[in-house]
Amino acid sequence: MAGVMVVEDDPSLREMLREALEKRRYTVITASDGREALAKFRPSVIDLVITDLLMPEEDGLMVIMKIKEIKPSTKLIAISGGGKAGPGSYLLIAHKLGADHVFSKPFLPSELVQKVKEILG
Amino acid sequence: MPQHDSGKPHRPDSVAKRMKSSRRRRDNFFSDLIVDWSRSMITIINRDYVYEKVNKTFCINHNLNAEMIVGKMIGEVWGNDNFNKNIKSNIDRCFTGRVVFYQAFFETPAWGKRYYEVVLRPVTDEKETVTHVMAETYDITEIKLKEQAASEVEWEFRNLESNLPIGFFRCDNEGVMLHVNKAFLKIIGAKNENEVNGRSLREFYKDPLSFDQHLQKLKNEGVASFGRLEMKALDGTYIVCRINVFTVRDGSGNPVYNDGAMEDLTREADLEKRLIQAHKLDTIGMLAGGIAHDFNTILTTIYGYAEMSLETLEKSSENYNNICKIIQATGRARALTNQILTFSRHAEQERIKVRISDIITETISSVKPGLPPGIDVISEIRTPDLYVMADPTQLFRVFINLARNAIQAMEDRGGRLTIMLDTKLSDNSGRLPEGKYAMIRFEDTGPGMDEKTADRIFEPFFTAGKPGKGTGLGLSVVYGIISEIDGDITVSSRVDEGTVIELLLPASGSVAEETPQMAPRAEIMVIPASDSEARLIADALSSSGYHVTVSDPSGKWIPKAALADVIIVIDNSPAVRATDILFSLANNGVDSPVLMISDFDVWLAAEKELTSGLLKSNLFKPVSLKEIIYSIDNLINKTS
Repeated sequence: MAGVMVVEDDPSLREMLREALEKRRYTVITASDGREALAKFRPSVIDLVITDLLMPEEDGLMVIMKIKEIKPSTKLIAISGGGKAGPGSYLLIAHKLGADHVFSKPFLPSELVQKVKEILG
Repeated sequence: MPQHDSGKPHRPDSVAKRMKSSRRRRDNFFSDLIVDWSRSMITIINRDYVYEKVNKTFCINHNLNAEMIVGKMIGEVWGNDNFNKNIKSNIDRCFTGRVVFYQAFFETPAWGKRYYEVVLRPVTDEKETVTHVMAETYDITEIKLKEQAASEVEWEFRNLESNLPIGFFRCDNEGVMLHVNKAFLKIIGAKNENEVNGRSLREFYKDPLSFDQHLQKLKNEGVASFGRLEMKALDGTYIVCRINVFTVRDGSGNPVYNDGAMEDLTREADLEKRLIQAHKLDTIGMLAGGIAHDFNTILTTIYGYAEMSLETLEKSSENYNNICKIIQATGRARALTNQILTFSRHAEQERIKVRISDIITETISSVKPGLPPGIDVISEIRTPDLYVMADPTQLFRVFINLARNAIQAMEDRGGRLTIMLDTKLSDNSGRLPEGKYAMIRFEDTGPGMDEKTADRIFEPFFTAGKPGKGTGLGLSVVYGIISEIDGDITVSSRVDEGTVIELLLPASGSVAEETPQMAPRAEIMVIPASDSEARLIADALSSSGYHVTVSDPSGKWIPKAALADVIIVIDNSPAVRATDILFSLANNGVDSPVLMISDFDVWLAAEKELTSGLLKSNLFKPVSLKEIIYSIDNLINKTS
């Protein structure tokens, strides 16, 4: 089954996304910030990365850029808290950097899971 | 000078005669002495205008000997020009027997420019015939120059006094106005001095008690300065002034009157107040925006676990229902964070050229159907072809919000809301850069509000309405949207007289700008045509480069819908339900992807009930144009 990495600094959301995805039988690896994500990223295992954009260590945009370098075929979904100072334009930049889809928080996890399914085919 | 005769020999036989003669000689000598050394120049002129005698002062002043003057005509000494212009006519008059007094300005090569004051006295012989004229001439050049300088200073001062924007006033020891200048009249809103003189300055104080204190201070100290004083103009409006005043005293130190200057600081005070308010709102916005951002993360978690729980539960179970209610409440929380983010200007806006009169028309057609009895809404479009750069959906949201607020305020006693559109050139309040602005005014005849309320209405969670009516976020959202497009919003209101909310938005040229080149020329259908927001979205999308058709009520649109790349369905239940449209599309075999724009509750219901599979994407109200375009592009990329 496909491997999904969830990069999110909020622990409860991170856990919820892990559970939601594991229910759909994805292999889930989680990271609490960008640095941890890059350290844990294994190109052979991870097909899709879901990353928050505003995080303390190495933000989500950096994660997208670096992962696109390491393994260009990796699919990417950016999630963010809505807005501009953090959000809106970050989501737009994320999209331009190559994110396959962006979600503005709060979103329904069922939509996210549905999107993951679509992207991974 | 006459010589002293004391050295001459005396004749003893005629002492008495000699003494008499000597006295006369001495008298003549004294007379000559007086005449010669008088401060004025004295001359005797005959009928031929020839000098017959001149005194020493004349000679000294003109630096000439008596011989050089006596026997000469006046014109030879003063120049024929001066003689003909200033002198001859006066001498002629004096020869008629009158004493003539005149002042004249002479310019001669030898003495330059001089002012003279001249007294001409007729000199008569025993037959009372005027044979000569005695001219007494004073050089008053220095006095004249000083006078002139003084009058210039006075003129300049008068000029300053009447043209400076500083109000000058003079009042008596109890503050009764004696004199004011034009600027004072202007500040206080009077037409002429009569409206002010005789009244006490106390009448112009907002708080008469502070006048009493100020007058006491002036009496004690002789000088006083009061900044940021709230005063009252004649029409009752409040103004902010600075007053500097001092007591003028007579020689014995008794106070005579008070002179003062009053400056109008209303504009500065108003600007400062607004800057403080804007700063306060920015601070609240930053704080609230940060919280809303984190809150959205938490809400996502709540959604997730609630959804996962639903999957394990029977639809008929009590817990299934409970969790549905959790999801619904979370939807409301989501709407709240969305509003806060809009207020804190964290929400992004897609800006396109928007014709404001269209938004006003849609606003009115949107609020009209539900109007309570006794309330009327009209528009007054003075400049129909006025454009601004904005997100039309957001602008619509602003207008709807302001209109509904006004209607709600008038609910109890009825009234009229006028939405007025006009242009306004560079608002010189200092709040906005110079330029052309679209001015949109929402004027209602509702109960109005007091100043304290008006000052706070843009703060989030501040509500002047009845408890339970709304979150108090509406106007803060309006503030956020308007600030984001570089506009300004002001409120002026008086209790029982209604409220005016004025928006100033930077006007864009009157010709629609080129449509963005990047947008794909996809076919979009927007449903339903009866919805104001749908029509605005259709216009906005068409300005953004899409081919847009709007459904028409006849039902002929269904075949066209089948050809669209994306169908946008806007729910405005209970009038038109998006779910009904979705079923109708599915029943007619339309399989284009549908983007639904609805409230969260409608979406929840649709997701659970829809089996058509047409619903590919959804957005929750309120939406921004940016979100719609992003969703359309996603749907098109997915299907292509």
